[in-house]
Amino acid sequence: MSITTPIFLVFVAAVAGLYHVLPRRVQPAWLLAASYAFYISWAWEFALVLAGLTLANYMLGRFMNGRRSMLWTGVGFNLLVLAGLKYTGFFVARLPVSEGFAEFVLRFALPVGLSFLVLQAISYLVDVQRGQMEAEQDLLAFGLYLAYFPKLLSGPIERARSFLPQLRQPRLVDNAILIQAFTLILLGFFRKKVLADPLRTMIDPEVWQTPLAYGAPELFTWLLAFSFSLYNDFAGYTNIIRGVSLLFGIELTRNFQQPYFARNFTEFWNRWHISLSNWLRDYIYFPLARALRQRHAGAVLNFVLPPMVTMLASGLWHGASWNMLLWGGLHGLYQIGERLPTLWRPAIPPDQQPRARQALGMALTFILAALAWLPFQMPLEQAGQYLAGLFGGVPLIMNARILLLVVVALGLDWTQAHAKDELVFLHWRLPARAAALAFGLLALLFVLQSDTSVSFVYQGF
Amino acid sequence: MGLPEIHIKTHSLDVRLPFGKALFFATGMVLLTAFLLEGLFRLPSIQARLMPQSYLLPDAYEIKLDFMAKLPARPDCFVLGSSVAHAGIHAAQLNESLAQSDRALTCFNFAAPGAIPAEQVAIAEFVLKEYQPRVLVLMVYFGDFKERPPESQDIAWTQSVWLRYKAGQVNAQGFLIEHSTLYRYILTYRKWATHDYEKLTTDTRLGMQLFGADGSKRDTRQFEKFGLAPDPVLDAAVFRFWKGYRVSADQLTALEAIIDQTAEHGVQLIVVEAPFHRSILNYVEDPEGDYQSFIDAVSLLLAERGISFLRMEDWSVLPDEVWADRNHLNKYGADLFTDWLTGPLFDALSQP
Repeated sequence: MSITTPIFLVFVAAVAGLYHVLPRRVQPAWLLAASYAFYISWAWEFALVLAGLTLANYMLGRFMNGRRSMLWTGVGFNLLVLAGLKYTGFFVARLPVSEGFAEFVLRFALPVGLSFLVLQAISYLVDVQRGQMEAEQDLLAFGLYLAYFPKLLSGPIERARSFLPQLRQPRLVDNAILIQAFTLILLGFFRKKVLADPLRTMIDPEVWQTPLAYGAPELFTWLLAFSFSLYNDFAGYTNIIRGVSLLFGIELTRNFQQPYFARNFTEFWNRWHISLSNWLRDYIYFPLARALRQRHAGAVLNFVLPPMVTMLASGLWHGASWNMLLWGGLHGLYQIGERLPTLWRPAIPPDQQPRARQALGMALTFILAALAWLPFQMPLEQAGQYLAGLFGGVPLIMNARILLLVVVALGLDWTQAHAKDELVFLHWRLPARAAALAFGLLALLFVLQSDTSVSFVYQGF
Repeated sequence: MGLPEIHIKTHSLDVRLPFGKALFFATGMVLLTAFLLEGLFRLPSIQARLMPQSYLLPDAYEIKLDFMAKLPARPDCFVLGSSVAHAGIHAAQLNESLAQSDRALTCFNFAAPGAIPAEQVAIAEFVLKEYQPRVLVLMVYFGDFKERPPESQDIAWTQSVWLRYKAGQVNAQGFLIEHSTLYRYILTYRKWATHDYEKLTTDTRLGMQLFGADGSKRDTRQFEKFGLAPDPVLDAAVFRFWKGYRVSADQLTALEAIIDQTAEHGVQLIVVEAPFHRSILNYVEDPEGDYQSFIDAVSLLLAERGISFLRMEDWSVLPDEVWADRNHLNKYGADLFTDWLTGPLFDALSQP
């Protein structure tokens, strides 16, 4: 059940309808049942994996008692599950097992959303071990933390310490929250269906295999289209599920904050896939930097290792391949590079820099981030060819339709960034609000008849 | 006086209805915009600048419907058939010749690539109901009557939501296609986000240039390979197609259904054999036998039902230069064939 299908909207309406008439104490159980039903709609085998992960992590948390050995056991177990199920096909093909057994095992391979589940489970175990939260006693609540259907497929990577308290508090959905929820859902559909999908289908798919067959203007245009498509795809998804979650009175973490307006890479990672960035920062970057400081490691090592290791881990999380490692490595290098000047002079926050420098930083950050999408999207050899091709001519935008959608996407981001409020539209005067809504509805009605439908990119991780 | 307020309150929900003034006004704006665009897209001057409206039918039919809508007079004679009829009969020339007689007709070539007889049943039904013509000219081709697996048959017409709607099956999309010009244009431009959209539209526009206003194809190409013997490797697909020729019972049943439909509507049906270049027979396993089996089956069925079957006995009037390929006549061939057809057609029309 994909979240942009009518059946999902009917499912949400049915679950929310019953949720609000059920007694408060029964609501989490109902949400848990609905979440498992949702996951079973993908494959019942996935639900078994989820239940197994839930039980194991619940027990690990309960018996943690601050022991580091239990934490490492838990982290190892979760990573093993992730690696095992991600590479089931690889192992099964090389082991002397019967065809029937191999077929059975392969049905459990790479449950959708597993990478997100594993990071959430690890964050819970670490937080419990560090004493930042009590181990959850209520199996049902813990089960819902991992299985909650709006965030099950592609996050956000929620922390147990922010999610679980919401289950214990009274959750009231009133007119204001409902309007916020519907606005987020509409905004999400707009980003996904009006911006991301058409931008993706306007790219010739052959270009990822044979970039040398195209000229620089086409390569430049399609890289621009891909960059905005990927962003709006994931941001659209996050908007939709945050809106859906608000219908149950549960707030999920914001995942994007106009990342292409970032003026440096530190800022970029505070605006792109925020829940993953925060996870990497809290569980890899900070502990590593702290450990290096405690061991009095050299300044250079402390300067280079934390960002590089963190970004390489981010790459590995997206996929165990040289492409993703290179993508992560590039982002690590970008971060190290932009911090170099701080070795001899204090850093000036982007906000306090001259406007021209901010604009330059923004352009440079976008260009470098866009170039890093090349290994993210295609095999290394082709990525190299694509990069070479980009410099083989004048970078012009050759497609007016792509340019129009990029301008609309930038306009939407600029409106939100300028007001520092993603729901800025709700504060507009009624005629402007209605006109914006009418524009969104018309655009959606138009694209719903179009030949554009693309799966969510991050569902593949 | 405002709407009565409804308060829905449970322990986790506290909603007061009605709410969402912006949604109310936005819906109004959407409807108003749609209304204005609907009016705008109905203007002939606007339509002249756009691609043909889409009915979710094969492109050729959409172009033909577009052309037909612009004709000064409603056609009362339709040519049906596959691509061989589409390219082989110039309806305007037919009209011109018949206009000088007392059997004047306004014919329109509504044949299109891929429309084998099984598909023609739905097309004929549509044409008979929609246009109430006096005459149907159905062109039958040897190759179209070959037995073939069901999955290889094009059934675009029978699956069309619009035709299902017109046949009385209620469906929202069919309703919109039938009644909204705006929606038909939205469907026309539904491929706007594909990477080769510019090429698609250019190809369609170039394809449209081959269409005469009477719906027939005006192909000026000349086939250049008649002198070469068939190559078993290069022509493998053609050999495969003709291998094991048997006259399809399904296509004969379809032909019978068309005969019934025309009889029911009181419309005169005239069946014409499509000529093909004799070199086609080089690919057929039993050239004379297979071809004769087709002629016998169709002749017998038509004779039983008293339907005229017009056949060009002497194909030598169609020299190599008038073929676009082995199956299809080019513009010059269609002129010659149509010229020949006028006589037998006049005779057939004169029959009671």
